[in-house]
Amino acid sequence: MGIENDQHQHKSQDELYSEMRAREKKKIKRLKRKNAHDRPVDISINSLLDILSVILVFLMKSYSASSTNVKPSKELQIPFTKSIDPASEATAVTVTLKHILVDDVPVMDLEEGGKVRAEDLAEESMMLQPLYNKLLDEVEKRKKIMQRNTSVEAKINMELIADRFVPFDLLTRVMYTAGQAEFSKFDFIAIKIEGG
Amino acid sequence: MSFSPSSRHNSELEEIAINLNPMMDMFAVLIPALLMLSAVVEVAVVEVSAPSIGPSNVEQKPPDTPPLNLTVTVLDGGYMLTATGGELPGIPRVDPGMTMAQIPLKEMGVVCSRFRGTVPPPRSRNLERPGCNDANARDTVPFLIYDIDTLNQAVLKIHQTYPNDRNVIIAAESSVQYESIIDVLDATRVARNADGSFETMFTQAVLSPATNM
Repeated sequence: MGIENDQHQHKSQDELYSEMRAREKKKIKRLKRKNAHDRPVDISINSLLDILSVILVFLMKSYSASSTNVKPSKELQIPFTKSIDPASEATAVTVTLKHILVDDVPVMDLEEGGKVRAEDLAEESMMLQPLYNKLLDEVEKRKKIMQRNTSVEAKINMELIADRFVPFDLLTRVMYTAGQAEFSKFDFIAIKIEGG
Repeated sequence: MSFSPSSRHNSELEEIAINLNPMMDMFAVLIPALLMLSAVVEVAVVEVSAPSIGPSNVEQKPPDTPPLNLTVTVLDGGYMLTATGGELPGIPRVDPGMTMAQIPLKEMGVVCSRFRGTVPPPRSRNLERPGCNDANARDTVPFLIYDIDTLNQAVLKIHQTYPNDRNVIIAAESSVQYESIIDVLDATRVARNADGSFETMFTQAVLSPATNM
């Protein structure tokens, strides 16, 4: 005890103070290292969930906007319209310069420039025989549905999705053929632009 | 009576962590699926009736007032307007059997963004001109085009003269393209008045069989 007192007496107040501070610092570092292993890090995902909820609601709303699914491509460049009338459920006939499809199933091939092959023309030169046969099947299906479900509309509609370069001649042939197959209403599909 | 520290009731509420894994799974599946299925292209519909060829099988009662029978014919050189049931205001009469575009094509600058890879219609008249492409997509390039605005205003005047008539017949040469037909349908269906309001005009459109003029 006497020796320790002597040692303390030899050291100045400043030296004692700095020693004490160094000991405290070491103690704090040791505690921090210990706590760093023990305490879990919390990530707040509230903002992420907010954004995802908004995106989900928006996408669900836009998914239900249209019953017609049109996939523009190099062969199918749809023209623009200022109309705002929405599309309704109907048999879709797609006309390009190379093919005619009914509900995405090819029924007829065309020659260069949208010309109809001679063998596809019916005895009357306006009617397209393969298209007529396919549309008759669609009309039969529709009539069976109407017999069983009276709430279904009696008019048989057709949606025409055509490439912008399709000649008027081919267009009227398709419409005439559909008219012969008892289609009464035609909806021309086009891409909506502002200004309507 | 004081309890030992271990027997004392702990008044602090215990935090319950909600398991968000199923919710995050749902988001991770639904959002990409809906992104793929969502409509990128918004479509609209123009209603048209089929061309009729030959006499009708249904007996029709003759109307009280003769119908106007407005016919808009799309020619390679412009638009021709005719009517069998009355005079068309501001439109010079065309002799039967003659073909004359009363609203001819006009030379006008067109923004190329809608016509990338091609030229505006009538394409047969613009084939020799440099086409629209990615380089000039935002530029205004001069082309010979159908005068849709003049047609729209002419049809508006006709509608104001015959407000009860809603039928229009659209005819065209065989080579006229579908895009031009849609433009004519738009021009005959709705017009903007001087005060900015929209006027619905000839909403019952019928396509006539193609003619070679």
